[in-house]
Amino acid sequence: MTEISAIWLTLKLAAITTAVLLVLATPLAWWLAHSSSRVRPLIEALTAMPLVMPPTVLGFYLLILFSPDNALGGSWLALTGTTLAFSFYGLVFASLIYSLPFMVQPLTAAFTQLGRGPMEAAASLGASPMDAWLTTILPMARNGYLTAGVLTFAHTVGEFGIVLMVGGNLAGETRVISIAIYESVETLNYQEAYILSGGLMAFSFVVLLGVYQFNRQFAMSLTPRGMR
Amino acid sequence: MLSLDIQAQTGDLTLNVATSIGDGVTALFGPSGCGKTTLLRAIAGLMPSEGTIRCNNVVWQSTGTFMPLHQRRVGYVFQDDRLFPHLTVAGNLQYGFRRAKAAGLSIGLELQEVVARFDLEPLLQRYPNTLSGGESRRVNIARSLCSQPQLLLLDEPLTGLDAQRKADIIPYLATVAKDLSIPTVYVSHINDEIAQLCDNMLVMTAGTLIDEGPTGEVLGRLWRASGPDQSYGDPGSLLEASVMHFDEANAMVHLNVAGQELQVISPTEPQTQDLRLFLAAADVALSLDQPGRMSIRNVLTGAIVGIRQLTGAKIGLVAIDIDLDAENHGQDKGNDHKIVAHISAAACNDLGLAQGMPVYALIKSAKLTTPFA
Repeated sequence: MTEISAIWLTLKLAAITTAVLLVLATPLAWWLAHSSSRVRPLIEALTAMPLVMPPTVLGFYLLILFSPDNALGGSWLALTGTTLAFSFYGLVFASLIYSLPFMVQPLTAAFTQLGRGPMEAAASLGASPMDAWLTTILPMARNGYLTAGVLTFAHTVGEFGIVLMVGGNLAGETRVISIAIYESVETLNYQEAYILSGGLMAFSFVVLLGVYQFNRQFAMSLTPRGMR
Repeated sequence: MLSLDIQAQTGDLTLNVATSIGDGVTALFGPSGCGKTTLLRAIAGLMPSEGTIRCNNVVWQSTGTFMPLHQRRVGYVFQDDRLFPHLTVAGNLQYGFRRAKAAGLSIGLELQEVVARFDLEPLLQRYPNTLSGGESRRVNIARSLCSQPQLLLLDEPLTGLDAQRKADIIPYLATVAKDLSIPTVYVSHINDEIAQLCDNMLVMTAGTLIDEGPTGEVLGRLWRASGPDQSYGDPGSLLEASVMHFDEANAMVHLNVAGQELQVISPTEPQTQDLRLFLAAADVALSLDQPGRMSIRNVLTGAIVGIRQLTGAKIGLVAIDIDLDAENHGQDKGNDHKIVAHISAAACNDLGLAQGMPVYALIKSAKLTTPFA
């Protein structure tokens, strides 16, 4: 039954990470798409860091940050009575950082492509900025959101190195699918490794297929008739 | 009434405009890059500017105050198509209408009325990506009205449409402009549209206004003076004319221009008594003698009030300004009935044309435009 608990834990981690990032990354991506501030390249580079850094490096720094001696780990311990390191919420925290670029970049691209036009048009029709954003940008960026959400979810499902560093291998707490596969192979339990690996591969394929299919239809629906 | 006195800097352009824009349509005219769109964006509050903007005694901006676009109640038809692709035509129209209603704002325009006027009933359930270029422009203009605006800004709303589609839309614009007594700024660089739609005109160059006034007067000044670069369009003259009668059998309308008769081909009877006529400078020939039998039906008499050498691409041509009011005897008295002819410098020399000489102006073709005012 370790598989079931690992699968459940993985899905829960990916779902929470995706949901939190959808909220956190939206203003960041909007700012990146429209700011002409001089610090924008700096923020852009920081946001993209998790793409290029070895997960172990990121995991190592997070582990240090999670230590009760540090501000983050210390205040978490004071608030909840548990440590962040080797806990599920530590994994969520790590995943938020690790998967951030997978949410921010598609959203930034979608917002950049939409430009300021819809917001200006909506404002001229009497919509306040928040109203305008929710009624034009959000629905018009839906394929950006879908791509970002799916990529973030799938990427979180597949993370390994960073989980190993900050989460370890605690059944029901931090033992996600990729860790379970690693352990199965280490213990020569190839059958379980086959099942989990095959499942993960099929999952990834189905998800990507769905995204590309949806995006095609969506792109069609926004293309003027004569250009199809 | 919109009053503005604003300054702004963007890239190489320094915008510095002070003027008042009354009810009805005011054309904003000028060469590309002179700052027309920038001025509209500043009026709308989309581009920061220094100075004061007031509309119907509401201060939109001045030192220390700035009202954002969604509170200014500006109907803005952008140069590019800005319909919301995820909403139907009906949804696009309702977008501004509902918000205006919720805020208790009205200029008395009901949604059904706008739909009927712009003939949008068959399009209501369609999505913007299924509309043709002309349909989508119509919806853009109609949508801007549904938000019950206090000011209408139209940024080249007909650009990119072929002549037929333009002819379809211009009547819509004309009725809207006539019936809503709200100030409307209409950016264009096309002569015909301005002559047909606009009461007043602003001419802009490099961020500042160089001329303003009633369309006929301003266009008259501009086109008669239009230089070698033709930056203000084809040189020619704009004349006020009144219909004497319509000859249906020959599809000819007989007009009175400065007390002289002029006949222009018109497939249908003109809808209004007063018309505007455009005479291209190249379509006017001059004769010192009373012309005999010929196909040209229109010969006007007048006196030369000015002779100007043209340069650049038009080298070898001279512009002859002629006043049709014979009693002026060659004295320039305003520009009510003046026309301009471009003829070759050689012809000018051979005929010995000079200031004050009476001439016959042979009009090869005249174009009718309909004023709405």
